[in-house]
Amino acid sequence: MKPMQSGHNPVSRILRSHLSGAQLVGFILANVVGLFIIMAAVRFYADLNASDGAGSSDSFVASSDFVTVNKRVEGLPVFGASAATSFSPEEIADLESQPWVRRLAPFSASGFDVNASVDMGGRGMSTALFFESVPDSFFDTLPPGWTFSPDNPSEVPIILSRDYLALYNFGFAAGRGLPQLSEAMIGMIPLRISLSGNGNQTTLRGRVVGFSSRLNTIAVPESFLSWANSVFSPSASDPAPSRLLVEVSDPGDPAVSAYMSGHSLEIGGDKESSSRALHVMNVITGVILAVGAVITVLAVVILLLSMLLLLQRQRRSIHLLLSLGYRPALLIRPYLSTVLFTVIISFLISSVALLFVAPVWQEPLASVFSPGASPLLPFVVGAVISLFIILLNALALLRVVKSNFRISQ
Amino acid sequence: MSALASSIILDHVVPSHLAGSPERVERSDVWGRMFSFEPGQRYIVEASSGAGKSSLCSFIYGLRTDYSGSISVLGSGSVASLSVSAVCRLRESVLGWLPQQLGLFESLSALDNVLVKNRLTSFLPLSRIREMFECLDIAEKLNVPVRLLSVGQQQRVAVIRALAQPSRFLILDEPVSHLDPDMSLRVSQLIESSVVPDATIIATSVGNRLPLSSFTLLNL
Repeated sequence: MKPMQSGHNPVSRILRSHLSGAQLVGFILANVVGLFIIMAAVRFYADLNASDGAGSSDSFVASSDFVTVNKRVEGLPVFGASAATSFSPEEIADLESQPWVRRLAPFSASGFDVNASVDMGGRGMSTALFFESVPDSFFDTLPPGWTFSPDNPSEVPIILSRDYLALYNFGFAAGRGLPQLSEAMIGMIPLRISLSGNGNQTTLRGRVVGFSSRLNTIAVPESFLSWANSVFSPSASDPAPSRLLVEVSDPGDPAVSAYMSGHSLEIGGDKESSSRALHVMNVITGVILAVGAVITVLAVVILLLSMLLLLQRQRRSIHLLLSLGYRPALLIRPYLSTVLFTVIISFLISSVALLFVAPVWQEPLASVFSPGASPLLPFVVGAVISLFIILLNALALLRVVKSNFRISQ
Repeated sequence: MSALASSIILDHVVPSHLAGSPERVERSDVWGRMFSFEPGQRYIVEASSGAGKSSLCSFIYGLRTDYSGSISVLGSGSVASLSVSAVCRLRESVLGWLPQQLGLFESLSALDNVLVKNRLTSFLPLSRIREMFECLDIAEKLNVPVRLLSVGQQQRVAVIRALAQPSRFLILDEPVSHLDPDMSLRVSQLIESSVVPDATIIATSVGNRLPLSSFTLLNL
């Protein structure tokens, strides 16, 4: 919108004649403070949460809100007493009913013998294995080739825990003089998977399609495991699960660790303490955000009142202009360009201030976490708020101007 | 139908303040009956103070709605229930308006007051506006703030502003109440020569009539 030049346009000269510079400066100051606090808090929040989990990138179960829960193994091991570490349906239901649990799924286990062999440079290697699976819906993105057709069983896709690869590379291979393997290489090695049990036996090809830091297991598609269990497992029913994959609303929530220790449960992967620090920081950021929001709201009230006061003082002029045929939308233009100007100015000041201030926390934060947040987010938030302020003012102005249209009797 | 679409039709309009005095409505040429202002006609609406001349003008112009019955401009349907933008469209081109209180912006110059209207319509070239100021003997007041002008001079500025659009109906509420007979005649001639062909002129008066060449006299 092109600002009207007051020298040449008698209309905007009439309408702006009582404009109070002091009120506008007051609004700009308040709005800069509020907007800056909001944008800084958003920026800080984004920096904090982008750094979380950046060190252990996981393309499949990417959300850090997933935790693996199992029972603590205590006392002397007793064969056949696996019931002590498996979850009963009641225990699962109780966990599921906790307010911080979004959803959970048991790891399904294989109830049959698995043997994998590989031919590496003439040296054959074979090992007994186990498989587990979680529902496909827990994957953010399905790994390529993550399918299995029971009608035509030929190849089994596998996701391996990164920890296993590390154990092999740095513990086993290094000591035995075996070649160390990269993740990409493993994906190219064909595996021979032998399944046996329940009087049946078959051999399939296996391929490692990905690695995960959060799935602390050897994972296969759910469709494969249910098929294999039905063919090779001696027991008709699935074994009771001993590990659960749980999506929690906030891993740092103190209620989570309280519940876990109260029920002798363990959370796999040690993300707990940094999660808790993150949780506290997020709460503080939330409080700061709220303070910023309150200041912004007050600033908007100042602007709105100042504009409405102006309209009140110009009642007669506005009524006259309406009676000359000026449309309300045309009449609010000088006011709107003032609003536009002040809102944009305060957005620019806040943005520049943020650019200077953000490095203050980003450097120390970078030494603890590895930052990598999108730098645009706070500006987008600021712009959206500014747009909202402009829209709100436009609607309020239009409403008041229209109310002057007819002489009410 | 064509007559309906080219005139202002008052369908049994009775202002609220006359609702309790049926004998005054009975006497009136306009109130409480079917009446239409026809294209190309000149009307002088005459009455004593308080009979509702300004009310009539405000009703037609869509400023006030305190009446019963309905008013339709060029077949628009009831003016009182038109949308804001529809009324604005009427005021921008169809209806010319000279209010009794003149409605000038006191801080603006005489010329700017006319330009406020002319910017909206782009009807008169600046040279024509100057000509009109000369014609009404106020050329030297062109750039003087209106608050410094006499009431008679202000009235002439308001007349010129009312002519700054191609009105089909020119509603003039006591256009010459502060002018001498000679100036009234010049105003009348300026109006007659400036309106579009077939325009209707409705002028009110409490005695000081706009000296039009021919007109229909209406008593409120």
